[in-house]
Amino acid sequence: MAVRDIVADESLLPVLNTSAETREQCQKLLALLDPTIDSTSRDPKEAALAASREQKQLFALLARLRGQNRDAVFHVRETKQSTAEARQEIDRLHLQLQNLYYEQRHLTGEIAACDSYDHKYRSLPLIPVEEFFELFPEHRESDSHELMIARINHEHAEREKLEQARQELLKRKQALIAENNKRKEDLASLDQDLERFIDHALVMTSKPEDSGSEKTAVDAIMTPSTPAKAAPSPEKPEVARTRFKVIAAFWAVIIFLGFPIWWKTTSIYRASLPIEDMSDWADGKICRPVFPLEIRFETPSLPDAEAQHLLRTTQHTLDDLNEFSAHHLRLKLSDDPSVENSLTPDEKADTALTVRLLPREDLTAPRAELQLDTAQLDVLYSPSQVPPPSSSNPPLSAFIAAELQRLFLEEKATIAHVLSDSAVGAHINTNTPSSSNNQQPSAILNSISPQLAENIARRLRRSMKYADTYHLAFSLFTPGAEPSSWDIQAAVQEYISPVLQSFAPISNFTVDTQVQLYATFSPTAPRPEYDESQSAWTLKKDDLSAFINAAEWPLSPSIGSGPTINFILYVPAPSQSPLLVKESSATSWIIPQWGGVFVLNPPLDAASPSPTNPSHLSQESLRPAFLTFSHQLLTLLGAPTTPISLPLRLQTLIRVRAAMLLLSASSTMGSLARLTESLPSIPIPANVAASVSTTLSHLSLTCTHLRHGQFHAALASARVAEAEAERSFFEKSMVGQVYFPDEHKVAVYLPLLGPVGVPLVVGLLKEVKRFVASRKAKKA
Amino acid sequence: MLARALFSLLAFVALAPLISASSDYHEKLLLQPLPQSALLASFTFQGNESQQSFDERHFRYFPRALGQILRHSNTKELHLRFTTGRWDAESWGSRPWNGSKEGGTGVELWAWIDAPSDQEAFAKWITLTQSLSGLFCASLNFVDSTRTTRPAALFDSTGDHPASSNLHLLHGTLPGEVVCTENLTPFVKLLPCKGKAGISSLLDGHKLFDASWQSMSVDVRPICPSPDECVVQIDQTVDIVLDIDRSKRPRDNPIPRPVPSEELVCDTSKPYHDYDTCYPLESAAERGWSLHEIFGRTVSGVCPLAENSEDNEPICLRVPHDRGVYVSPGATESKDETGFSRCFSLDPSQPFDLLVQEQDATVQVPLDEPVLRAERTIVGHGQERGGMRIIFDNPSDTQGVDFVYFETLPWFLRPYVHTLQATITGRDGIRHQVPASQIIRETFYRPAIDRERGTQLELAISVPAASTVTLTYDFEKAILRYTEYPPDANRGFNVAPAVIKLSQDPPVYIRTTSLLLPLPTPDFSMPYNVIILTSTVIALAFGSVFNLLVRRFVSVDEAAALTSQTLKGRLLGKIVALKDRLGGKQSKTE
Repeated sequence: MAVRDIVADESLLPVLNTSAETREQCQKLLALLDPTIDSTSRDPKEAALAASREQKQLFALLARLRGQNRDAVFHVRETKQSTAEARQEIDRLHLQLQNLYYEQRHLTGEIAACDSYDHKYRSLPLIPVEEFFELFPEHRESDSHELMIARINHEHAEREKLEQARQELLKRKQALIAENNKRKEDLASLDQDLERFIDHALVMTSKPEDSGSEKTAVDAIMTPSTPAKAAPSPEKPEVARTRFKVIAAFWAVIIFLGFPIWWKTTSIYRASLPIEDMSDWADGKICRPVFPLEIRFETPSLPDAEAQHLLRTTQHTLDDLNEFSAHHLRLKLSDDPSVENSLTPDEKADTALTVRLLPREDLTAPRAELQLDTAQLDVLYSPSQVPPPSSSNPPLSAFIAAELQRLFLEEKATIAHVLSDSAVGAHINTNTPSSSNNQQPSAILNSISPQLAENIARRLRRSMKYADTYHLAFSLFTPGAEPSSWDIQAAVQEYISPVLQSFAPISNFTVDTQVQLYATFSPTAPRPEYDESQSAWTLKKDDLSAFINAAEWPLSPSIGSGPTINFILYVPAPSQSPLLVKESSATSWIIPQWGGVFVLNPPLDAASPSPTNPSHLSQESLRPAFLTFSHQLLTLLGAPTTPISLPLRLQTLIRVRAAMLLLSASSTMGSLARLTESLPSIPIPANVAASVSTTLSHLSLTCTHLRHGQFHAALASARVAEAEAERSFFEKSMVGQVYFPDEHKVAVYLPLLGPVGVPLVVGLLKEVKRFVASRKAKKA
Repeated sequence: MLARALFSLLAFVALAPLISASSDYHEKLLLQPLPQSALLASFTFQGNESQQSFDERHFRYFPRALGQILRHSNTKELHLRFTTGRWDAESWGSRPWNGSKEGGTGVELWAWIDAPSDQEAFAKWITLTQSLSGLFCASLNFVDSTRTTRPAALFDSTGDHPASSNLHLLHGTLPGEVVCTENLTPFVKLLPCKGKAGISSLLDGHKLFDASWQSMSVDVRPICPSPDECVVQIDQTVDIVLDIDRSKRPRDNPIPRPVPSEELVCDTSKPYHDYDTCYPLESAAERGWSLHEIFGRTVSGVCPLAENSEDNEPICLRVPHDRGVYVSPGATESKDETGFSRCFSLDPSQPFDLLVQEQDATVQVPLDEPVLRAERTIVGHGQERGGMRIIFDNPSDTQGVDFVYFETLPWFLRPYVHTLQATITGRDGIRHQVPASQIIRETFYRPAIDRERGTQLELAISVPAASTVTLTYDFEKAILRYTEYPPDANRGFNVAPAVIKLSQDPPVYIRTTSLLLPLPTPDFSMPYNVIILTSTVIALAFGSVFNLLVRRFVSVDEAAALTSQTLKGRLLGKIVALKDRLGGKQSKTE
């Protein structure tokens, strides 16, 4: 059969066999059932039985055939699938191969393109290599690439040179062309001039006596010859005179009526100021501030003569030690009746310090004790040390002098610093070199230690300007909700009020306090960082300036005159506690001329699940903060750090303030004088003049008081002088006119002044011309 | 009546703890949906500082900035109002706080100042307005003598003042001031929690000034529960009526969009109703809203200072009890017996939001009818004269209303009081004129002085039941000086709202809207035109006269001879020569 030829697969052979068997079985069954075969030979029942047996066999075979068929189909399916997979794989590989071919072709193309790329430098007409080597022999060793670069660079330089030369030549060419053109023009105009000259020559010959000006017209009358063309008849002298009168009248009205009215109505009132005096004050020519400090000696145990002697020798030693004569110490015996009686109470000087000499038996060397709460220095000495009247330089005097000198060293340095910073002080340097041995403020500044000088300079920079009233504002800021209350009343009473009371002679104070919750840092401010080593949150020193969130924290200055000094108590959030300054681990700092900040890190309340700040700050927990604040207040007010006695420091402050106010008022006077001189258009009302005279009188009063050592009175008058000086300088009505310049007025009235002015001026000019001409004619 | 009762209850609740504690702080928010999808939000912040620490300038609950100003200007009692918009009494009923916490449109300020004389009181008043102007970023410094009045019967001091003090009441308004965010920021800064915690965290300028009506108030007064224990009380309120639909629009996309067609509910009974034609039905259900949707924020916890106060439910909502309301976890709700109010206590550490469901309205929260309606308009035409018409409508059928009517007019509006006429219209619509004295029981009139003070008119009026009274008077408009006109002179000049005080207990205040008065305005370029025109005329006249006097007159042919020598003649010669040359050149080229 053909099937066997087609189907060669081994797995299909059993199928074929089975199908052949089945077929045979079918044939057998058919044969058995064939009716044409004699059926009589068999019993039909038997036949049926046999048929059924055959049928069963056939069914079995059929079942087997079906199973094998199914297997074959599955097999085919499997084969197909594996074939398809194999084909896919082949396709993929084929595609990859194609891609590689493409890539190869592309790359070869690129390489070919690169190879055949024709760069400009190949076609550059460079100088030959040999010539180049002659020029630059150092290139002989370099390889061809570098050589080419060098050659190209050389070519470039050469070409630039040539190009420059070409430009210059072009310029010259242009210039020559221009020159040519000009010459041509000249020639052309020469033609014209010639033509005109010829024309004029013709006219001249036709009427030799041409009359234009009035002078020639007058001449024409005298000459008998009459003009050919009708010249105007000569003007009569009375007509000319009338015209002169008319113009003169107009100008007379303008000059004698118009200008005075204009002057009167537009002038500004300028009260006369003593400019000279004011400048002199500013230059320090009038007042030389001196600070004679009176020191009283109480010598209850010494006889009068010995005391006098001790006083004299001490004074002598002091004068020898002193290098700065503007500030000197005057010693006096407290019970010196001659001094008491000779001076009126007005001229009596304030006592700066009282020195009490107390004898003590068991002392080998004298000892000094400064009283903390009074201006008193106790000097303990043993009676044996009292100098005999003969000794010229006893050790006790030297000791007292040195002690006094030490006490007033810082004050002296401060005053020297203040004076040397200003023009007044500087003037003292130059103006009075001969009057004392060695009194330059700079000299004393040089003599003190640089650290002290630095301290003084810093304190003066930080301290507030002097004012009558200072407003103190204590604020509690916290970024969260707690603490929301503090024992502020008690704290102020306890820590701040004593300081304020001691300052009462100098300034007045008001105190406000506030509590501000939810006060966050400004969004731009640098955040504190956690420092592992200090186990604390830290702020960098440079970032402290951004600590105050000025936009959101209500730190508005107090209403009313006088500056506000702010003290900020900042309690950081529990998550950022403790908060320190990184560099110094400090928790407080001063903001110069503004106030102070204290970061208070209260113990956290650990009882609650998350630590919180205490809701109330007791007076005890506020203690460090307010002690710092009182210290900061002293610094901001400019109080010196030595000596330790507060009254002495306050006295020093009075003297320094008086000196500063004197200098500041003087320099304000100088500024005002310069201002009035440089701006002639500003008005000076009468009250400014009054203020200036008040200032000047109070300045000289201050100076007198200083000279007499009455420092309280000096401060009082210096305050008046400063206030008046500021008032005169900042007078409102002086600035108003500056902003309305004269040009504006002219612009508005130009439509009137222009058309009216032009004929007037032209008429005047004509008259003047005529007048000059007639004068010349008369002379001729 | 109920709403008023509630407000007085609130006021009582706010005042009650005050008696026990000397210095403390409370805050409260009341939310009440109003008809027409409006929502009234009423914020109250109250701080007390004991008089002693106020005098010693230790400020804790009281803002230091304001305290300083009050001390410096000797002000004992202060009332400051910033208001925009109009309270729609027709739909919204009577006003919150009986109108006592609102001002006229713009800024209104009145204060009791302790001063020995009127002049000194006025000087202090100027100090006060200047300082407040800086504090609140408002133009209060423009409250000068022309805008300052001393009301006779309008305001009663609500604080307890010592009998020895010599108090002066001064009142000033700025009807043209536009209240905006820059006023809110300093207002919020005065609060101890500064908008960072508690209900004040909802105060957002964007939403607040998008409201239909808005009023901020600051009241400072001393209160003495017992003679030796006084406190200074600062009461700050913000009342706003928000449009719920408008507020719910997202901030980045605030343009209203049409309802998508599938969401439209149509009135099918309309004859033209079709598949493409629709008459939209208003939804009968009450709008749903939440705090976050309306204010753009949620309440961030509780202000810790207010936490300790006895009244520990800072937020109250006034809706029927069957309305579905959901709140954030941690908050507890307590309903009251009236059936219309519930309050919430908050978890201090968690943000709080409140969601009111959209629901068909079955029960309405009753709104009480206003006792009096008032309206004031300018009538008449022309630039010279005009008239004022004030209409008082008494809706009650049984009771007459007695009240004080106060108005302050700028000096350039000169009323003729003799033309004051009254008309009564009954419910039947019949008008009949009555003598003014029948309506007006008392008059206080203080005429204006040009450029110094305005007119002050206070009338005690009684309106009979079920009738409408119309008062009219004529006025003349003054012509201002050139420099007195503001830059926007043609816009008109603001006339401050009239204030009406109903003599009840507590007094009810009603304010009319502010008016715009058009004044005759000149052409502002006039002075320059005049200067230039007159200058030209004078110059012309002068020139001709001067020339007549000075010039020499000659005949024409004489003049021709003269001209050749003058500048003009020489110039002409040159031009001729130039022409010749050009002509010559042309001939050469051709």
